[in-house]
Amino acid sequence: MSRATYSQEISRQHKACFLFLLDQSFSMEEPLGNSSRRKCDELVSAINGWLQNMAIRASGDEGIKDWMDVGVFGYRTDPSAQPIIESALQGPLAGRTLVSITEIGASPVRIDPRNQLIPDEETGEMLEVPCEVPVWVDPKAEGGTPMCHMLYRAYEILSEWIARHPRSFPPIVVHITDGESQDGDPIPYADAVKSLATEDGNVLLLNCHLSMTAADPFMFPAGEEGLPDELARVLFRMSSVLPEPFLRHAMVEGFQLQPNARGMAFNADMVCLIQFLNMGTQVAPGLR
Amino acid sequence: MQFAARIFTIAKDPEHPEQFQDACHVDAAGGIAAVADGVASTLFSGQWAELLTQAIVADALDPADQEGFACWLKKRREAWSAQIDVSGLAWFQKAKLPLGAFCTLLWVRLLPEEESPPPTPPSQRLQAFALGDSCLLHVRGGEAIHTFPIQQSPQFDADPLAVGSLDLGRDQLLNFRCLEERCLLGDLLVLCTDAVAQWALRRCESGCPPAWDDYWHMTEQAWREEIVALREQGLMRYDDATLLLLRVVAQCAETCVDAQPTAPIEAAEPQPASAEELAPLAGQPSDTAAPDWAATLKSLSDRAYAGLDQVSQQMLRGLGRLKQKALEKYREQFRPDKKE
Repeated sequence: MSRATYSQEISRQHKACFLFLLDQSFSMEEPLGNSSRRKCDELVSAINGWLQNMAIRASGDEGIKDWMDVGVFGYRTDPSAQPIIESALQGPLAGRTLVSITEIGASPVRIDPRNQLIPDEETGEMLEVPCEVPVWVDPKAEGGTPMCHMLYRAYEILSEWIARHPRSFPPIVVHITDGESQDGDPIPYADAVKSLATEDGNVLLLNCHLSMTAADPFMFPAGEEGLPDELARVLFRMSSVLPEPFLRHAMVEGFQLQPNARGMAFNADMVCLIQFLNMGTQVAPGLR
Repeated sequence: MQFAARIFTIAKDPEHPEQFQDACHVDAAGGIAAVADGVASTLFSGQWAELLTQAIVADALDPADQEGFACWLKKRREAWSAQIDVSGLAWFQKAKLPLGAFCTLLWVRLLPEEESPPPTPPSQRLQAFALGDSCLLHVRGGEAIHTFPIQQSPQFDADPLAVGSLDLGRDQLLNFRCLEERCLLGDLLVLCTDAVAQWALRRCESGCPPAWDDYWHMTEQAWREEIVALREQGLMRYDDATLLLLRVVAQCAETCVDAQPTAPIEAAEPQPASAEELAPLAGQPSDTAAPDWAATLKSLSDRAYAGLDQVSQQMLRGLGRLKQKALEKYREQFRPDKKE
């Protein structure tokens, strides 16, 4: 009996892999739509929040279960326009390519005190409650957008990982950018990443575009018609067609996706970004 | 009527039996047994599942008595809170603690028939209660005549109902399902947590139901190997797995049994009947002997099961001690003050 694709459950024997590719170019200094904060600030908040949630979710009585490897890479250029492609993880994890979620949970760079707004159950008023937020990634915004270099590095990293985990649920790559590639046409590089596969299916490449303007976002479009510009169309072509388990899960979460919907968001604000991260990474069986 | 029991368990990660969060408890002589599946994403859910199954078997709880159930649950929650050690929790565990632990619950009990005169053939009432997706298959003659509370494999949900170890103000959602059926001598009650249940229902739906009698005679090691293979083939989900087989017998050896996620070990085979026991059957004219044969065979069968049950219990007690030692070693190794 042959197994359906994208069905391998996550376990210690069959780990998952999530690779985040973060645009750290200068334009990430601009404010995100519907927010007073810079795109790079909102982006690292979302990524730190995702890492925090995933560490909490994977934790049990004995600590964090070693069921996934995570990489967070940033890309930008230096003053001489040379690409800088490096892990965005800092502190004890700095320089590491892929790190187990167990190590992520054990090694935040610091724990920031924050105030969290929560509703008072009796009065409905919003109350400011102090809380502690672990941080692994800090914002950066400088230079250009060497997207092709980043995708090529992602290809290298995932090739190695897949060789060691041939039967796992395929890696999920989440690429977040606010602009177009400045080192060539990224589509062939994206296709190369998507061509990598475990026995359970091809690598899923999800692309999220952050917008400065508060325009209507496009989430998981199924065709190029209606997309606002060439950048959106390029990101569409770079993005994976979402497999059937993703569509099923999206429906449970209240999204009505068309067949052949792609893993793409355009003009995303912070709400969309968080939805996109959650939707894109919860499709792996066993993570729900 | 009573139970003879066999219990099979395997952790999601067989190399880490200490992370097993199902629980199972049987009072074979009392005709009551419970299974619970601790929700892996919550803290101390194994302890919660263990605590509830033990208490259910001891208290023969009736969830229809809402006030009594609320009082019972409150006491169990207090016991859980007193039992857990939160002193060394990391930030990611502290964030989870306010939600408490959760587990599904399933229990069965045998009750005397209320009919007068008693029905023929002799039977007892089988009551089953379930919250969540741990399942009962009532097997007679190799065929599942009832499946409860889930009837079809697609009905398994990623987020089943579960009872929490803290009162989060949502107890009104604890809607227990109830089943009441007749149970005959020789019936087999199969209680299992969701991974095994979903696999079993799929097999039934495909027209190739599990041969439960074979499982009764199977060693624990062989069962675990089969589960590992089923997981590898994608035929069973990676999850803690518990299979509790309860044979309805006239009388069994005394017993209270609990499940332990054990290291591989050979289980003993059922003891065959002795030559003396079989001798009276020989030479009997078939026409007159038939009813006695049936009764004698049933008695022999029950004794064989009871013998097996005793062996199983001795094994489980031994394995329980092994597990305890392993846990102590593990905790010692990871004590915060020992970390560099």
